[in-house]
Amino acid sequence: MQIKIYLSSFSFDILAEYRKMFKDAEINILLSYGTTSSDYYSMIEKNRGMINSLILDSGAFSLNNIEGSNGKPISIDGFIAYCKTFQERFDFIFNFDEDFHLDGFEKNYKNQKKIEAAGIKVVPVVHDYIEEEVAELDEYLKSYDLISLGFSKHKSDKQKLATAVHKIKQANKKVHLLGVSAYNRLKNLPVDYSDSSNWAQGQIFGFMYYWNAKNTPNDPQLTLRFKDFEPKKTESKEYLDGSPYFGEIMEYLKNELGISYQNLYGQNATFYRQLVNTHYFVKLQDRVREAHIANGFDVLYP
Amino acid sequence: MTIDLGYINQFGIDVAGNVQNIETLASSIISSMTIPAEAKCIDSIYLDFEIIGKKAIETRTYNWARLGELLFNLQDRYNKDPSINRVKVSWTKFAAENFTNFGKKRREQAVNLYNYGKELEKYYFLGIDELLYVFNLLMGKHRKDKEGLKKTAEMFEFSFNSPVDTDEDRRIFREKVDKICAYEKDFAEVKKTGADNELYYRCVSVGCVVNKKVISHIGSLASQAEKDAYMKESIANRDFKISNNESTTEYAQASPGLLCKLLDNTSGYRTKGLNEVKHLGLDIVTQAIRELVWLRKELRNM
Repeated sequence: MQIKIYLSSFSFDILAEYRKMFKDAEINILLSYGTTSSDYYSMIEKNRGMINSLILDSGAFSLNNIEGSNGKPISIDGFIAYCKTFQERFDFIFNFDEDFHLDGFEKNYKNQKKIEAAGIKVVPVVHDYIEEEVAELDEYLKSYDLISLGFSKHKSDKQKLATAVHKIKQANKKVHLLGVSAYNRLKNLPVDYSDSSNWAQGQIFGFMYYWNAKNTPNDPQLTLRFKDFEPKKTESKEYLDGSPYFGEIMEYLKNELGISYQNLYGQNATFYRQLVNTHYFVKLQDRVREAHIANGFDVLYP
Repeated sequence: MTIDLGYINQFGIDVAGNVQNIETLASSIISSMTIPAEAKCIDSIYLDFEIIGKKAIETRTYNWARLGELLFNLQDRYNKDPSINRVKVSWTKFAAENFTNFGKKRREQAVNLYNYGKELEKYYFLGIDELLYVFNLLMGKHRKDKEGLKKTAEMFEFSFNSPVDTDEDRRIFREKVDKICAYEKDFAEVKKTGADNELYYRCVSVGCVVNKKVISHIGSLASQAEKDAYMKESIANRDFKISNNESTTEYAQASPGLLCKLLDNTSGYRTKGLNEVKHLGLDIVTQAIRELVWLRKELRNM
């Protein structure tokens, strides 16, 4: 097995620039029906070749967490129409799992069947990892080769999450862990796919990511804040400016990406910060793969 | 005449007196009753229905349809009565003189609603204005084209006969109604442009909103392939976009705001004793001074 980490809700300008810089990089992208963007067509049709693997999410997370998608309502009929148009461009598509509750299986399963009846193959999304209310994982294991673990109150419980992941792998099926990209969470879990919007969120919330294994090997994912934007969500208290690793981070940015301190704070700060984070997550994919090999997952789950 | 008010009973509201009034008044409408007396009788029934409707909005559409039934029969009687000089006393004039409570617009709507047939009880939540809008749009357009109506309904998986019992059912029904209305409203115009029907349906389904510019743009595209590509792009981006080369906006690459930011920050370092100056980097400050010297020179020369 070789994990793929999908960068979610990606933008074309970052894709084009990153691809120019790293011709052979493995860039995997998750687009969401719930997030409207004027450059989706560029990625789905015109420049599909720039992307290694492309997958589609139904936008159920947006439906449950924000008011619609840029004012566009999210409905299963709309999602089906979208899938019918572009399904062959995506490697896989997630179910319209609109009910995130532990007992949401019935509604989500009906949606799954409705989408399938329209001729679209979709990956089921599990919300009850441990049969607390519904044995949905067992049900899906009977008929699907790829199962995703979505939002759940079980997700933050490492033990419950690991139980679900191992159950899927032991059944010789593949697993996608939705919305998780922390190295320390992924390295010990034999997941085949995961995704993260942190490449962009990191920028929105004013963070950049740096692989700090040399200095803090047990906690190598360093998140640093920028001084010009104070995020509401404080993932990190440490600023880039003032970090004990400031010098080596600047050196890394210059050598790997040709990005300077001025770029990070200049006119196109957003663009450069997104490039920095994109690079981090593309590299993270390799790092998690290495950890999975070290854990013997490639042998256990070939 | 008799009037069936069994539907109202299921809501368990305390309107027994009003129901009884309506039933008594309705049963008093017999052929020997004068036409003006019948109109006054219906005008009184209208008041009782108003009270019932206020106590249980679920009954409103049904109530409107029953009033429409009474009015339809009265108008029919009026039109067929040989003793009435309809040139001298038109229905409009008669109605204006004999209905004091039941307004003209609502009377017309009630008759229209009744004429669309029975089984309307479930659609109370749309309100009479919206319900008639939907009926007029759909049935008005497809009066001579039953197949067209059937096809549209199938496309949207829509039926006026589907059960609409829960809040969720109502939300879905309303969404479908909105989509069908959006689809039907511009269907003829879009069809004239040569746009593919199925792709147009998908555009509407994902939330694209047609306007005159869009219709004219599709019409201006030379080939079917170009039209299809434009529709697909709109589906992918969930929006119709028209590039307008005439009014391209050039964004300033510099602004006084940035200079003000610099002044604010520097002043903060100097006066508040912030211990962060070192992170700016001497090279950046030197470069900034160089740029500022140039800027001062330019401004002095102006």
